[in-house]
Order: sequence, then structure tokens, then C-alpha cells
Amino acid sequence: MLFDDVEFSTSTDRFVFKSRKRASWYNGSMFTLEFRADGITPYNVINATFNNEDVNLTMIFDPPSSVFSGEPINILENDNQYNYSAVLYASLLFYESQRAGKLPSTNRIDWRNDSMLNDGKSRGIDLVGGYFNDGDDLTKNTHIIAGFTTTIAWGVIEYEDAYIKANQLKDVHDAIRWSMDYLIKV
Amino acid sequence: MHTTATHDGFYERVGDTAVNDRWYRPEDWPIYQHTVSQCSCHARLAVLSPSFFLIGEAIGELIACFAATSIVFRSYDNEYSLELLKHAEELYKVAVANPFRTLDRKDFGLDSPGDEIAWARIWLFRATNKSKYLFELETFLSENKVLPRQSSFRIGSRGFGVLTLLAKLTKHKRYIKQVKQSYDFLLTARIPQFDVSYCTQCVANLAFLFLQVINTILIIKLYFYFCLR
Repeated sequence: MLFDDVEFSTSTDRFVFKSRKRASWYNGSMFTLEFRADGITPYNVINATFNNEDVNLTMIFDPPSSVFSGEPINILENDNQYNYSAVLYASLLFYESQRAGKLPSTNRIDWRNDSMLNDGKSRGIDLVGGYFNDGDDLTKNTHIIAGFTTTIAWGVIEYEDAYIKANQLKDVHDAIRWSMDYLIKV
Repeated sequence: MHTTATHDGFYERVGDTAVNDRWYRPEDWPIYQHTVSQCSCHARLAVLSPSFFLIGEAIGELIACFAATSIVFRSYDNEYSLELLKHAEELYKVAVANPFRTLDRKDFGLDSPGDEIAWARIWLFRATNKSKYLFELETFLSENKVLPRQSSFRIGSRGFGVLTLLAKLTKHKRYIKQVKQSYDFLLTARIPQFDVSYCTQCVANLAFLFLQVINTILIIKLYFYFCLR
């Protein structure tokens, strides 16, 4: 469903989104999303309805730990200096959360599963895998994947000892390999 | 990817931003609720780069990536490393065999395909130590009378990376001098010189480049403090 397929109207603290077409993701039905908010942050939302049924906002503001069960990663040491080992660890997890395709058994992001297993099927080839462009764009661009992978690789080449000391060498190898296995396919 | 010198292209994109630009998990992508035949508008397109244009930036980035990652795995998985290097060199043959498709402008600098091909060459030189790649790079730079003294730093431009690696790998005085001129300029550049829409990524890349210079080319305290800042 594209932006033009939704009609938006607002008055004072009321915001209404109505579909102009039947939504494939909603069993081919029309929908109306309405919410009231007295500000611009998610916590300013007072109430919301979807097709006149109340939406449980607590799920949005305080997701149950089963959805995001990981503990926060502390990247600061006691003297407020950066713990670069933790920074590396968190950075590599960030890449793992952006993986496309069939995830390995070593996947560390418990809220991610297999995705886009039909990529390339329409052309009769296997283009499953790689990384999505970013959190709100599920496209995979070859030059973007190649670009950041080169930068990561350069860092590994120059500072392999640092990755070993941080106990992240295997993880960064896995991150690079995830890119390269895909780029070999494209 | 069909990695022969006669190959016509590669898959530059899978998906369509206009359709895929959504804030939800890929697992929840609606296509799983419908077969492609029922909802072809949601089919994730695999876009082959047009046969008439190999997209210089993309092929340059690909070649550099294969070359650089081959070095990463050299001591750990030599077979994989050699496969990656093979892809790099074969793709390079395709790029060089089709210059009118990969280098529509011979300038080197911001937003041109020239700097990505230069990026490819320097990484191929580093991965193989074959002088032909260095020769072709230096020939290209001298023919086009450019060595980057960048007027601004953008994450999309590989000019600084090429210059830094040239100085590091060759230790030629004129490249080291160019490095100092270019990086001294960055020390004094104001924030508006940076591509502010990608500020965080820009700054991270910049810090990394300065670290490269400090560690291997010029030990200048100012660069170190700039890096920390």
C-alpha cells in the first residue's frame, strides 16, 4: 500500500488515516486508524482505534520483554570512558539485526527471523541474503552493501589485533561473510 | 553474478524503495501473506543493471569490496579468500573492457564514477601487489590532472580513501604531501562543509581516515585530537 492509497485528515488533537484502497496486508479490507495526541512524541498519544476497536497502547510503549529480551549494552566504563569492546560488540549486533534471508543458527537477535526467502525467484536465480539498506527500507542495494563491507574490512585489516582483544574477530568475519556470500550471488 | 569478462551486468538492487519503505520487520512483509501471482505489485524486483551501463560507482565498489575482503580471510580461509579475489579481478576486466559504460566522466572527485574505479584499483593493488593496478591508477590520476584536495568531505566520495592508501602503500613523498594538504584542510573545515544529512556516518568515516594517517603516514598530534573530538 502506497502513501497515495491512504487519506489523512487532522483536527486539533485528532488524526485519522483512511485507506482509499483495500489493504492486502489486512485481508483485502478497508481500514481506518484514528488516534488522539496532545503532542508530537509517541507518549503524547492519548488513545487510538483501528476500525473503531481500541488499540492497546501499552504494547507500543512498553513492549513485553519477550519481544525485546536483550539486556541493554553498557558502552561506558566506570570512569565514563568508552568501552570500545562493548562498542564493537553492539555495532556488530546492529549489522546482524539488518540481515536478510535465512538466518543462521548462530543468530543473536532473538526478535529477528528468516525473511525475503523468495528474492530473485522472479528471475529464476537465488538472491536471498545480504543486508537491508536500513531500518525503514527493505531494499537491498549492491553498492551500499559493498561500500560498508569494504569499510569494515579495512578496519579488520588494519586493526585485527583490536578485534581479537575485544573477542569480536569471529563475529566481524561472520558479518563480512554475510555480505560476501550475497555479493557472490549478485 | 556471472563473472566472466563478457558479462553484461549484475544485480544492483532487490526490492523497490517506493514499496519497501516501511517501518516494520521484514518478517512481517505482506508478501508472506500472498503469493507473487496474487500480489505482484508487492513482488520484490531484482533489478539487473541495464546492459548499456554498468553503473561505474557500483562496479567500482564491488571490485574494491571483493579485493579488500579477500585480504581479511587470507590467513583464515584461503580458499574463500582466493574466490573473492577471483571475483574482484574478473569484475575489473569487465569494467576496463567497457570504459564507456563505467566511466562516463573522467573527473575524479565528488559524485563521479571515477573515484570508485580508482578505489577499486588501489584495493586490487593492495590485495595482489600487482603493479599494473597501481600503474593504471596513477595513469588515470595524472591524465585527468587530479589528486584530490577535496573541498568537502562526503561519505559517497572515495577520494580521501584512495589518496590515503596511495600514500600508505607507496610512501611516495608527493602523495604524503597531498595527504597533509588535504587533511590539514579538513582540520579547518567548518561543519557546513560536511554532508550534514549523513553527519554521523560522515564523522565516523572521517575519524577512521585520520586514524589511518596517524598510524601509518604522518604522526601529527592535531590529527589525533581531531579524531578524538
